[in-house]
Amino acid sequence: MHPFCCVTTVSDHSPSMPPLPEPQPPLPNYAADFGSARSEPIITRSASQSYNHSGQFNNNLIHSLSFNHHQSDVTDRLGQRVLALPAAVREPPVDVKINDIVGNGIAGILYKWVNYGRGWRPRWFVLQDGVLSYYKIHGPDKIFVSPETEKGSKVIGDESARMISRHNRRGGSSSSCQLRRKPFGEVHLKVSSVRESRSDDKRFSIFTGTKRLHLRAETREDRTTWVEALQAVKDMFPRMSNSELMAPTNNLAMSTEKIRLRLIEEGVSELAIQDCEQIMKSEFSALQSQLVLLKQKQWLLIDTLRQLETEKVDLENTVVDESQRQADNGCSGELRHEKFSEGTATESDDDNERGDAAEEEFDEEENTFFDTRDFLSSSSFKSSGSGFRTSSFSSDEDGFESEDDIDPSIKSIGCNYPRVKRRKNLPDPVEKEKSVSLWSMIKDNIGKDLTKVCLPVYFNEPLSSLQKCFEDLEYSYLLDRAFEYGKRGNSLMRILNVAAFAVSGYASTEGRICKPFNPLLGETYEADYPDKGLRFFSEKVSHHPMVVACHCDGTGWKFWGDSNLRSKFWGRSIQLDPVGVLTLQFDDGEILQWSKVTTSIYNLILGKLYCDHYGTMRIEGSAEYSCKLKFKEQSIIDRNPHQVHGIVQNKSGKTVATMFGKWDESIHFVTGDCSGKGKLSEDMSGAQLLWKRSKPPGNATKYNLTRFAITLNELTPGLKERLPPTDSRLRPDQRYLENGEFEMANTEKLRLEQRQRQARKMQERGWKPRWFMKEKGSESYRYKGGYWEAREDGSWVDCPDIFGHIDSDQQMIE
Amino acid sequence: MSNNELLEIEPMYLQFPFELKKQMSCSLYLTNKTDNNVAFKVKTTNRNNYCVRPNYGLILPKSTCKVLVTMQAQKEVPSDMQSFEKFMIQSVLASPGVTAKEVTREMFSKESGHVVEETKLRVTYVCSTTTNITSSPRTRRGFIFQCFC
Repeated sequence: MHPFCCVTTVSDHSPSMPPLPEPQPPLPNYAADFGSARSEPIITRSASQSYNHSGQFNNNLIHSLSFNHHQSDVTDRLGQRVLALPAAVREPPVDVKINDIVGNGIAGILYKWVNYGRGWRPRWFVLQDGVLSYYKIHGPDKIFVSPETEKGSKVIGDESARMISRHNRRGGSSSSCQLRRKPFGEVHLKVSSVRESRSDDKRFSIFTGTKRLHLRAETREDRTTWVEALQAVKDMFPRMSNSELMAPTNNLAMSTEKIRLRLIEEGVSELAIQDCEQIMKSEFSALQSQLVLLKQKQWLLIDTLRQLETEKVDLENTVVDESQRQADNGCSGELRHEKFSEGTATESDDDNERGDAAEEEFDEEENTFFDTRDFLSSSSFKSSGSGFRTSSFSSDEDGFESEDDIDPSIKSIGCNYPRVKRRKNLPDPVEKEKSVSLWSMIKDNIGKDLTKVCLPVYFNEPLSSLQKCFEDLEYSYLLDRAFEYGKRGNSLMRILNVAAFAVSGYASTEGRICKPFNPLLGETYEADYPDKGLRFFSEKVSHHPMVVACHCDGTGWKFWGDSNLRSKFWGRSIQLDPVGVLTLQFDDGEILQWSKVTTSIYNLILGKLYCDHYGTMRIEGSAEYSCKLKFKEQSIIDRNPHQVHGIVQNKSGKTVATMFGKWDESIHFVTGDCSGKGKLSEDMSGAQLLWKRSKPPGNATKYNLTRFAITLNELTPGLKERLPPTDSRLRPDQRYLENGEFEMANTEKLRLEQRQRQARKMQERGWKPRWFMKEKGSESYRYKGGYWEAREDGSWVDCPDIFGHIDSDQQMIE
Repeated sequence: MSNNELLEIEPMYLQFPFELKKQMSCSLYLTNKTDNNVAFKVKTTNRNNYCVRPNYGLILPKSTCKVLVTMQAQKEVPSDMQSFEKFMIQSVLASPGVTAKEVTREMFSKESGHVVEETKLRVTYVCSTTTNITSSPRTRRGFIFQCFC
């Protein structure tokens, strides 16, 4: 039965076909069809002609042609009847059941949800042959319903009945539109599912693989009727397995016995009867071939429908989820719910991102880890001013402590010296200083050597050039460390520390805008600093040209040199070119030498005065390695001033280490050659700190002196009695300036410089330095020795009173 | 904490017996669970407060290395006897033939492509039996806090 029903469904898929007549008893139905006006003439004509002209071939041919002319009509009718007949005969109970429920179809008005703009719209729904179709009943596409069109259908709903009655009056005018109705939409119930709404008694939905219908009935009872009918129709077409579909078609055994008997009664000849039998058999054979083709098509179509049903199930799950969300949000609209859902998702995403960002910040703050050390730093525990060496000159946060990966025994070098208490402030000024116009002074001295110009003391700082030489040794611990490294055979670390020491001498020049005092001829400066493990001594050995010689005995090393600055005044700046060589000799005999780089002082007239150091410094000697340091000149474009870059090379010229940093900040190094600028940031992570500048004192002076510089002009208890009369600490104008007695300072400065006019004469008359002398065959001055011994004895017999008044000088001359 | 594949660290935190004005020590045990040499390195958020011996080294396969962490003497009892400082153990597979003296910081550089494992450890304090809890009011509060935890 099922294959035939399916075939019927496929062939009748077009709802525009008029509904079939009501089923009749099988046998009378069959006879009635053949008794119709259209069929009867064919049979009658054939019988009579055959009877009148029996035996004539020509007449027989005409009859055959006439019969073939109506072949298609007969085939259609026969096919339909044959299909209906076995079903009715074989399973009468099922037929009765189906007719009771479905009959010729179910029709009625249902409201369909269109969209938010239109809402619920009435449509005429027709359930027939497994297909639910709906038509518009308003607007240009509307259809007319009347008792004639809905004859045989079961109408659901009072509104539907009233509509039919209303159209009954106009039945005649709408007859032309009744013949064919084009559905606005249709749903194949075989691949659909029907659900009743829980929230609304009148609503239900039909889901297909590609779309969904939201429908609403007039009453709850109407909805129940519709849902029951839809479910019944679905049950009529259960899903079939592929094996059933592909089962071989059984050949239909057809008997022509009855037609033979009928024709015999009519008196047709035996030959004609045989022809009729042959014709029927061939026609049925052709019909069977067509049925096989149709069955294959039907199988393909059902397979497609099964795929659609699979997709429908997937979409159904999605719809169920959305429905649940709808219920949760109390939103009845699909679009509104979707928009709300999108908003929710977006907001939650933002919240997640913000949370992650906050967490990341927290983690970053928390995870700043540093390399550990295998020793304890004692600075955080010991109080300020304790025996710790650097505490005397630097705050506890000195960069000295931040050096990492340094051997503790090396690190302790320079920390074992006894502590000496020194002052931390300059004396408070006694007078208030009045400013002086620099412009009026400069315009009269363009092109002259500034060392010859008598400037007011306003432009000076309370230090002399002799003391400035000692300021270079603020970081002498680097030389102590270099000596220790060399003693252990680490030549690379030795020259690296020496190079760092050479650069560190410039750190104190940052912010120093005042000029040191020009020392008088024969003026000296000593610095006995046991807290640094060194003794320093310097003397002005020549007035024209001006040369300052110095000598320093350290712990394990000696350092000496004579410095001469050739100055040029360019109006806009002063350029100081260094002359002379600095020599460092370790106790093991190794010698290293280098020279200073060029210094320029800018913004003399306008703006804030500053100085810059630039050029190449080469550290060479008998050591295994040499070093080349390049001080970058500051430019307008460069935003990273005070840079220093250096390389350490071995005897064969290969670079074994690279240094970089700033001369007013710090110096780092990495082993190997990383001359590529792009690598600096990468190698910076592995760089090791060599030297870091001390922090400035808490209470800054107007001269921007460092902690170390503040102590240079100090007369510690008991020191004045041991100093020679030529020491810079005893210079009166310098002392007055430090005390803030500016009037006296100016007076004394003028007097001393006037007295200095005679220096050239003294030098021409064969004056020689007291503690230094030129080396044979060289212009360099070397320390003769004997100062500290004379200091011990307190005998300054040959030291004149260079700061005294002219009377004492004349007496000396006499 | 993360599950280390190279080193097994015991314990997973540093616990110092707190005592005023005296150094405090505790030990970490790093066990190499692999069949290769593993280099390790110890880091901290407050380097000035701790002495780590050894702070880096090489651990042989299936061996254990003891790391002694010494804390600087403190002048005051930390607030609520809590520490916000942390330690990090970095470990990396060492190529065969590398000796303990050749362990360098370069081995722990992630930019060089090394796969470095990191484990973070917290620092906690416990009251030492000789702690003078009456030396300052904060000590008293910390002690009470410690009892009720």
